[in-house]
Amino acid sequence: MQPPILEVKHLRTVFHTPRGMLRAVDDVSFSLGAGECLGIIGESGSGKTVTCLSIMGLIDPPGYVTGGEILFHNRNLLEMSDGELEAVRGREIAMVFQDPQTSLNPVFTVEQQMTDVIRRHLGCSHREAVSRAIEVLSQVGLPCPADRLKQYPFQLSGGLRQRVLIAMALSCRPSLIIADEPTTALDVSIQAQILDLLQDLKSQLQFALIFVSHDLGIIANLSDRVIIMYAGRCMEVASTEQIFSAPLHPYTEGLLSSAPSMSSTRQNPLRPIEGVLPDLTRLPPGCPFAPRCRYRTAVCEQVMPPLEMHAPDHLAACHHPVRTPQLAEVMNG
Amino acid sequence: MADLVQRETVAAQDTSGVPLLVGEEITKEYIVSSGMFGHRKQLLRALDGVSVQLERGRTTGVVGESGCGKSTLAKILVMLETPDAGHIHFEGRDIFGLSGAEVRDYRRQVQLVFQDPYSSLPARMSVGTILVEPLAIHGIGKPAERMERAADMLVRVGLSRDDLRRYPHQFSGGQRQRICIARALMLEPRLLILDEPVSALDVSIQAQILRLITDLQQQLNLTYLLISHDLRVIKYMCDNLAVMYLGRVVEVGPAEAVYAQPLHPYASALIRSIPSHVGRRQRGSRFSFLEGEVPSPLMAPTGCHFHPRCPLRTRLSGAEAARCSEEVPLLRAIEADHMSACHYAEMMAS
Repeated sequence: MQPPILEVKHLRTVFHTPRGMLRAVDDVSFSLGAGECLGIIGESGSGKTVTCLSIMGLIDPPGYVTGGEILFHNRNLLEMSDGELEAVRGREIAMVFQDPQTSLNPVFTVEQQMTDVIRRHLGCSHREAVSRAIEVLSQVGLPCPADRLKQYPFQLSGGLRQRVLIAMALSCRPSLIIADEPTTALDVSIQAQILDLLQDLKSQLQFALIFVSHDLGIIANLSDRVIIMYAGRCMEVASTEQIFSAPLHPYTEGLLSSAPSMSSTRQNPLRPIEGVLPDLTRLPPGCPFAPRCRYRTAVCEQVMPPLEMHAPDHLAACHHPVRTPQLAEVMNG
Repeated sequence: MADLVQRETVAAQDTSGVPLLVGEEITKEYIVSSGMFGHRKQLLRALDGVSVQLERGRTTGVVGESGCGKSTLAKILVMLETPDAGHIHFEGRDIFGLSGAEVRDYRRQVQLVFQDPYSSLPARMSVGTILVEPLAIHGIGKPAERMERAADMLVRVGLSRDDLRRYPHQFSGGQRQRICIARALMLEPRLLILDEPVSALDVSIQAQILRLITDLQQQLNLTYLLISHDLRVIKYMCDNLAVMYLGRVVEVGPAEAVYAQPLHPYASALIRSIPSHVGRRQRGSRFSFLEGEVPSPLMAPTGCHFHPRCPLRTRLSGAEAARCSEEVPLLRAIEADHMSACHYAEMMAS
């Protein structure tokens, strides 16, 4: 693997709430190679969005990044001044948000919003910015891009708006794009088109992609490597193949057997994970998944297991991984 | 397997082979205002001659993308909306010819569970009050008995008797959906319309609710109409399936047959567009099998609504393709009880 372009080390982000301190992201570490696609899977409150926002430097009080490092091309984003960060954010790292209805400003035209970004980061004239905007809009498959520039967001459908947002993210030729549930608000057929678009653009332009989703099917078919998050923690990190064929963490195993797939039938019933998602302000001292875990023992309730290598390039934070490492190696050939 | 046997016995108890509910040629139009100050009035046909059959003790699924009319259909079936044309027969009786008392009885027997468990429970009522209200409205039982029934129902949906005194905000999304299901079951309905019942829930919670819904069906001999945009949920839950597109049913059949061999190009493309974590596709292969977007129902294409996006049509000759844009295809049986509204459905079968 090439040297990583992004390394997140022991990231901690907390929010001070009236009910106490909420650890939204707790000791999360991962790295991302150039041109790689990393999928982050998690349910509500797992910290997947807060991880992305922390990388982007978009955590506002009452939230604070309290620890760790975020190394982007070996420079720690957390130690940068606002000015330095401005030069990275939006230019070298761009983000595509979930809801295309609310991420565009309704009172400005597409042209105003796109050229703002381009002029700010590339320091070019308005005319150059317009031609760059037209270029990226046609790259994302928008018909008649010059006409679209004059339109307001309400004149575009959800799918087109998401294309405009992807074009904005691409406009300054970033080396990393973070997409947070970019297809969740879209219809099935439009979701598939956007996934194809991201996949094609990634192979053309060679940017690295962090794709956040709660949809196992999308991540399984899009990413190279996968992080499974739960209650602010990284539970498992491995290649897509390992995660979906030989998961080590009981939570991952539980997710796979509780999500319906295109091969599910009632003859082979889904096995839900019992219990409810934890309250982040009242987490137990040990593993946050322990109260719902089938394999828990006394140690799980007391000691948080560290994220450790159990098989080659296969990390899990569990005292009792569901497969012995030897078996996992055999299954991977 | 035990599941299957139980289903069979349940089905056998219903001696009348007549479906519980039959909807025929249901059409619903809305007048929408557009243009500046709403001066321009346009006709939006939300449902265009939709027919459905709900078999006793079975689950019928309705899938489709936004604007296909699936929620309008649900509203009509619970009599929240009146169709402009068409008939609905429940237990063989036309529901629009019922007297006032009979309408109340119909509403008791047909209940609805909504998508969003956060907005569909009143915030200022305790769970006990919420569950007892339908009984009070229908004048069933004495207050003490009502509360007792509510407590039993809570236990049945996996909550505890103590939860009667708590308020909706004290519950998680999954638990709230359990309360919504309990409320719908208080009147002992025979038909439950589930409108995206798990879409707002997390993956690990979804499966709990799906299992609860399946268990309740067996215990209470319920008939379900399950509306969803998630074809994975529909595949798992349904015996029969209707695929809708812009207000029309384009394919109907046993769920297994529809998934194995879809007979309408739209259904086929939709099924192939669903990414699955079991049986992953080859790296880099395509997700999408459909170009363009669903047109606005205000500007529905002529002939077959699907023709501008149809992948099958590109394989037809000029004259054949012209038929798609001129003539509305009728829903017709291609194989036994498997129907398709495509002029060239036979090409899909081969």
